[in-house]
Amino acid sequence: MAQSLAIEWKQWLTENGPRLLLFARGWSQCKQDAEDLVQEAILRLWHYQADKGATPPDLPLAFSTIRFCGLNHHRSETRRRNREGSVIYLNDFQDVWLDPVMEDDEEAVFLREAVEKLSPKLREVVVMKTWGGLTFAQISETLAISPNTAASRYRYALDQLSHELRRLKENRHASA
Amino acid sequence: MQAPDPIEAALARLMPTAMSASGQRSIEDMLDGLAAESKVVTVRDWRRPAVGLGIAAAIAALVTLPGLLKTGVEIASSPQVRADVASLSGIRLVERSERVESMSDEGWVADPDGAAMQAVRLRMVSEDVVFDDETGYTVKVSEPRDEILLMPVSDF
Repeated sequence: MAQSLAIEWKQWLTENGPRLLLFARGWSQCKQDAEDLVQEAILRLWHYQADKGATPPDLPLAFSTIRFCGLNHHRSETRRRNREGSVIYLNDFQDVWLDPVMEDDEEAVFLREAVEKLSPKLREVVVMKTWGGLTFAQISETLAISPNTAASRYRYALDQLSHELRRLKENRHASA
Repeated sequence: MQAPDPIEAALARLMPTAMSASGQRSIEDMLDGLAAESKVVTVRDWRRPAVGLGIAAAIAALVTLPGLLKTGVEIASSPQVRADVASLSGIRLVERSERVESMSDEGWVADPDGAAMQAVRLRMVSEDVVFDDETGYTVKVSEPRDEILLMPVSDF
C-alpha cells in the first residue's frame, strides 16, 4: 500500500515536475532554490492530501501551494532585509527556465528570455496558462484574483512579448 | 474560428526544463520516506475505542486549558502549548506538520508607513501525531489558526 502510494506520487512528479519547477522559478533565484521550493510544496501537499485519500493533488492546488511557499520565503527574506529588499526575483541566474531545444531558432531564444523578464505577476499567469494548462477560472482561484484580472494579465503579457519580438526584428533589419 | 495568437503559438513551442537528477531523486526519496511513515501512523488498535477517545480528550484538554487562561489567539499560535504535548510522560511525538488549509484575498491595506500592501488571509493547521506508549494508541492533535500575510504592492 505504502509502496504503491509512493509510486503514484512519483509518476505524478514525473508528469508535472517540469511545469511546477518552471512556476517555482518565479519565486527563486536559481534552479536549485526552485527545486527546494517544489520539494517543500510537495511535502505540504502530501500532508494536505492525507485526509483526502492520499492521492496526488490536482495542478491548481500544487501551483497554489508553491506560491504559498514562495510567499513564505519572500516574507522571511523581506523581514531579514528589513523590508528594503522586497523584490528578490530573477536577478542573477545563468541557467534557463525553458528547454533550449529551439536554440537555433532566434525567435524562440528571444521569447524564452522575454518570458523570464516579464514582471512576476504577468509571468505566473502565462506559466499557469501556457504550460500548466489551467483555465482563467483556475488561475483566478490559485492567485486569489478575479478571472477578468487573470485574463487581463495574460493578454497584457502577450502584448508585451509581441512588442518585444517586433522590436527585435526591427533592430535586426536595421543592422542588416 | 479565431486564429491562434502567433505569440501563443511560439510560446507553445517552448517546453519547461526538466528537474535535475539530484532534485528529482531527493523528492522521490522524500516520498518513499513519507509513504513508509504513513504506514506506521495508520496502524491503530480499535479494541478499546473508549480508552482512545479518553486519551484524545485528555490531550485536547491539556492543550486547551492553559490557553483558556490567556486569549483565543494565543491558544492557536503558542509553540509552548505544542511542545507540552510532546513532553508528557509516556507520550511520544510521532509526526509534526503544518499546512495551509485555505487562502483568501483580503484586498489592499496600508501599513504603518502608509505603503500599499496586499493582504492575504491564510488558514493554517498545525498537527501533532502522538503515540501513547501505555495503550498503544496514535492520536492526532490539530490546531487551526488564521494568519494575515502582507505583501508589498509594487506593480500591476
